[in-house]
Amino acid sequence: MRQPLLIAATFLILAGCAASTGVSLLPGEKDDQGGQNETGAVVVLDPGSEQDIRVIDQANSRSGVKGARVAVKSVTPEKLASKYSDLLTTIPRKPALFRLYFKQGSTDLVDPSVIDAVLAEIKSRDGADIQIVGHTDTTGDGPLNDSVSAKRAETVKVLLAEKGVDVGITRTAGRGERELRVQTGDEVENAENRRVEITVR
Amino acid sequence: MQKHSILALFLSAGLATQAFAATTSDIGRVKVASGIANIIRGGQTIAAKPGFALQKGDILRTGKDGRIGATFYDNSRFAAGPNSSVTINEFLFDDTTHDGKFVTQVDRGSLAIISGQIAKKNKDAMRVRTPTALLGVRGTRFVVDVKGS
Repeated sequence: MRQPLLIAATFLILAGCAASTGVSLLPGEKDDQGGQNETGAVVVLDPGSEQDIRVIDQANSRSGVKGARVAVKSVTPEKLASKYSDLLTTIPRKPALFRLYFKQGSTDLVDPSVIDAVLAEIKSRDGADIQIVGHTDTTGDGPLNDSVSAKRAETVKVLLAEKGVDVGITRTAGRGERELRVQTGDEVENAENRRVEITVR
Repeated sequence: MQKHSILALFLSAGLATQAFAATTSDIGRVKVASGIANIIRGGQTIAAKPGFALQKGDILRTGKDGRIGATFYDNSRFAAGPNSSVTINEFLFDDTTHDGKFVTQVDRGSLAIISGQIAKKNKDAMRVRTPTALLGVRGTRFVVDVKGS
């Protein structure tokens, strides 16, 4: 009765050995200001304990990973770029962030023309989706600001819908005064905090 | 497990107060599709097209010359190469706190990843499994490829 078990175990080991995993670490993406984001890290974890086995943090490297065995070697950026050029060009564009500011205590936009830039961005992307999050400054109490921030987000959604954007691709939320862009005390008017942030993906 | 269920509870409480317009089970969207490129959902095969809303449990599956690019609600971005099978096992994301969990399984082929807010907020909250490895993602751009399985 032992033999079938042994054979099964051998098969499992062979099947496991047949597969191999490669991890290629690229330098961080360029940021919006033209600078370079730092290279992050990929960590090989023990599948059982989930403890670190090896931290791979060398940009332009390629590692072979098989269980706990990790072999890291350097690769030239040119070689990585050519090996993965098709894959890297398939990565969708970086999401774009827009901020729309509002007049004190209202859902009136300071500069409605920003909406046109948002529309242009949406049109430039295939299969775009949009996140619209409203915020307030610290004047007024929490529940009021939750309501005002949600109304601001809704206002932007309606403006976009009026310009032909399908509301099915939008998600809206109101964050009240929880996420200040400029830190202030309570009951402080601040034009930069009265905003809606739109992420076009 | 316990940690996870607390997080799930926390996240569902967060979502309940936010009332998103889109279906809350959506986790991201296909942005790029070419060649043989499908989404497998509940055993059904659906052609991947830009704008298609992804859900947890979906499998991105490509044939020879097929490719799929997708962006998730935490701004993570994926590109699956030819002859690939990539399953989104878990995706939880709280827009407010950026807490979440993102687990992807690459069974074959290749997957390029630019990590987003989930990986940025919590160390190892984003993970990638392959037949031979468990990887933790710490804010980065990389490619995983799986051969011979």
